[in-house]
Amino acid sequence: MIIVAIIFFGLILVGMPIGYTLGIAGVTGLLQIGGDNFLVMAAKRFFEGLNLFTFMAMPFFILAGEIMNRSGITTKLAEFADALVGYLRGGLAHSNMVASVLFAGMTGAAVSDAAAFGNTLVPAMVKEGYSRPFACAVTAAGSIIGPTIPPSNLMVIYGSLMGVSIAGLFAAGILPGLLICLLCMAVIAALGRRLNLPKSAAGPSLRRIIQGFRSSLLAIIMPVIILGGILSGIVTPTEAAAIAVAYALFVGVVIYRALSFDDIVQMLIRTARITGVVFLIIASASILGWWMTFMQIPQSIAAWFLSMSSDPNVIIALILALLLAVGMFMDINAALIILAPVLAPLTTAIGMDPVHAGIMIILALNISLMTPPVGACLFVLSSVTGEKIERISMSLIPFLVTEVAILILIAFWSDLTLFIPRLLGF
Amino acid sequence: MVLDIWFGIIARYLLELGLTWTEELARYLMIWAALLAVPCAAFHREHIGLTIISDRLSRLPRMTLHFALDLLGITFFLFLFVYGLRMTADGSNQYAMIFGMTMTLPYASVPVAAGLTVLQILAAMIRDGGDWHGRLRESEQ
Amino acid sequence: AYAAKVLKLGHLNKDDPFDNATGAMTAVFKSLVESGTNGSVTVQTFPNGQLGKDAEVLQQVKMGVVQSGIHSTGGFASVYPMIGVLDVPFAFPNISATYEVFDGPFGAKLAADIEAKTGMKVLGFGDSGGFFNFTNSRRPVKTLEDFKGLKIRTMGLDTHKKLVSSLGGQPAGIAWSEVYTALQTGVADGQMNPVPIIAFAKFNEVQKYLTLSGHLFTPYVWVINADFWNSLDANEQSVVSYAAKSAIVAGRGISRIIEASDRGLPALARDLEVYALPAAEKAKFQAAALPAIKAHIESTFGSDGVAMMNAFLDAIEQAK
Ligand code: NA
Ligand code: NA
Repeated sequence: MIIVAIIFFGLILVGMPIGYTLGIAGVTGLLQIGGDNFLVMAAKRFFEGLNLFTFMAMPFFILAGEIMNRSGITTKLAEFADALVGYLRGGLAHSNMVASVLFAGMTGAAVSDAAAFGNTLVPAMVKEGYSRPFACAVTAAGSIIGPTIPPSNLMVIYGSLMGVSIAGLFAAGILPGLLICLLCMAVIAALGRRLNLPKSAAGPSLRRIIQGFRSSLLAIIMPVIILGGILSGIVTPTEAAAIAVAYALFVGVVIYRALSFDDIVQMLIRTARITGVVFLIIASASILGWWMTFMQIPQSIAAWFLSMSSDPNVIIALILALLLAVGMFMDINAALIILAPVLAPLTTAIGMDPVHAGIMIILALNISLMTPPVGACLFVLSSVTGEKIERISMSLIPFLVTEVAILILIAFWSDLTLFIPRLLGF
Repeated sequence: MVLDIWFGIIARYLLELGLTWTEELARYLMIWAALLAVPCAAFHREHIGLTIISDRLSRLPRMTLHFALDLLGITFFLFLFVYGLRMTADGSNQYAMIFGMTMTLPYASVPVAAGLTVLQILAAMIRDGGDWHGRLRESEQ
Repeated sequence: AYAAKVLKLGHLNKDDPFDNATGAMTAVFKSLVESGTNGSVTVQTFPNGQLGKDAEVLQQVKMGVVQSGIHSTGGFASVYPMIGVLDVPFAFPNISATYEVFDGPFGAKLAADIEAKTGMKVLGFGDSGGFFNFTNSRRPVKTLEDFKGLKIRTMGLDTHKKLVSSLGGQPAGIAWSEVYTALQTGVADGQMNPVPIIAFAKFNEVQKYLTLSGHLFTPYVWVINADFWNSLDANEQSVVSYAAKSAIVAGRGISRIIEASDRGLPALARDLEVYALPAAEKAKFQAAALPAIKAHIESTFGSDGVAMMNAFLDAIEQAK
């Protein structure tokens, strides 16, 4: 175990690609158990790690973003957003946060949000004069709103695993999701002057707003169409991503006539390359994750952690620390399946409401998607935008601190999560 | 793959066939497509990693480090290639949900991608001579 | 002195003996094996599909990476497609007949065929939560006519899809992780599963009607790696064997208890309108579905499959 940890951290630090490092660390672990069969396991896990329907939304959203960029839809949208809020300092950054809330209704996973916005809003923000690491950080911070506001893949897994009402969890996620948006916008406002965030010279103008609205109408109704498709039961959230591609392609090719066949080939290649980078990481991480499961490492760490105190407040703090830590090394779906059955009974023992505990556990794991070394949202953004992980991470710090503070607030103030579910009678 | 999912949706609503295999087929196509992009990204040095330490090294130690990392990367993908082949051979005894299909073809994506990645890392080593960042600077232009 | 033999056991459900049949099975098995061998064999469980998907863990058992697994027929079809012959609809008259059939000569015949074709030894066939029933959000299903046009989510198994379509419904293949949302938004009108699964997946939150149709019974197939089995001495083998048998009985017991408790039918009845299909109507459902399924089994599994299906139906006839 120590050898695997040394190899993992050592290789990451000296700059080995993360997708290679995870695989090498995982294979080292399996080699230590010994036996040829365990090495075939490595290849199997590499494949099976990708063999999940929920991952399919991500490449679709990247592709939809590519199409929107090349056909000029993104530019039109950014111009409209600029007309609306550009006279405010950091207007586009605020729009990014609000867009995450709208997008949350369409996706159940944070990586989809990071993929869609990393490929559209980040370039638009950079064009407006934002620094690229900051644009990535805003997008990463907003991406966890997606799985906090329903629908949410992790909530479905948690609800059926732990016997907690999924509808109750969905309802409980709404206020925390909005709170993340509001407080991150507060962070943007607070940083605005110090980072000298862009602000357009022109004041608010109704004419520009109407003009912008007209020219980007087709793009604005895109989320309406997709959300409508999900809510009216025509498609599932994963399939909605495919609809997004179809719609963007239709607008780009038929209406704007901005895409040639050559463009489409180029976009497919770029989407495949980005997907390849992210999927290598997911596949390799599932080798390491399986080894950790097989050796029952998360459970051992949890047992050791939780034997340290019996004070309810300390236990909550330890649970949060544990989830954030494990989320740094494991895919969060796997981490949830392994740790929820260990942690949930503890939260019940100290008198937490099961829905409240579920939201806390899920949010902690989602926040770990933004923390290095293994943070899927971070990787997606780095890969989509070409920005360095360490520079995005530095810009993320104020947002991360805010979101951890929200997590603590949620953990110790149950009314915040339970208000809406109680209103609805769960 | 996009076509396959669209086909799945259309099938469900227009043709009322209830074709459950579209979902599984879409997954396998996606895995193939994504894994084939792995060697491509390896050649262009697009697989992300930290550069805090290597940025601070002078030229010779940095080239030595990158040379060693490339060799280690080749070892890993060579390993995946060999054991991926074993898995693919075993796959003929395993059935996919799609009727009549074994797992051979989906599994083959792993050794094929791993084998190609070995070749691409080799090619990139020859091209860069250990200077990954030179390559990066060039690609940013 | 020697190192204890470790039996790693993977399964799909929660490791809680009072929560579900498999949880009860693994708890009883672990206790009987460890006490009966004086600790020379220790049992380590991996619940909730931690080690991978069902079909994947099955491969791990085959390779000896883990020693034993309790699998759904859906997962088991990846190594033994002929398990699909058990999907003859409305075959069992009642739940107690399932015990007789799978513990009796038919169970032994099926186990022997599985061992010959997969190389894994079968420890027994466990309860996976009882009969499959239909739920939907459209209308009460009391007659075959009511079922027409409903979009029903099924697993990817051909026999399940054929069953729904031959009853006049529309099978929808939706990944398990998206079923709840799909039922909520109406991508599918309904689904089919045993009562405990309907309750634990919280489908009562997004469905309106439960029809106790009892149309399928799919056992859990419990296998053990053959090399590991052969490495056990005679006493250990006998302990593992009776422990598995007792565990299966315990699993059946807890399944019936859950059905009867406020985590089963009584709980579902609070949210869902429950209707038990009478025998006469069941006969109509069966008449509609049986020919298609039989033809499917014949064309898919050939004479081997037909022989196994007939043995299955004969065993049920004798259990009546
Ligand atoms: Na969401
Ligand atoms: Na992380």
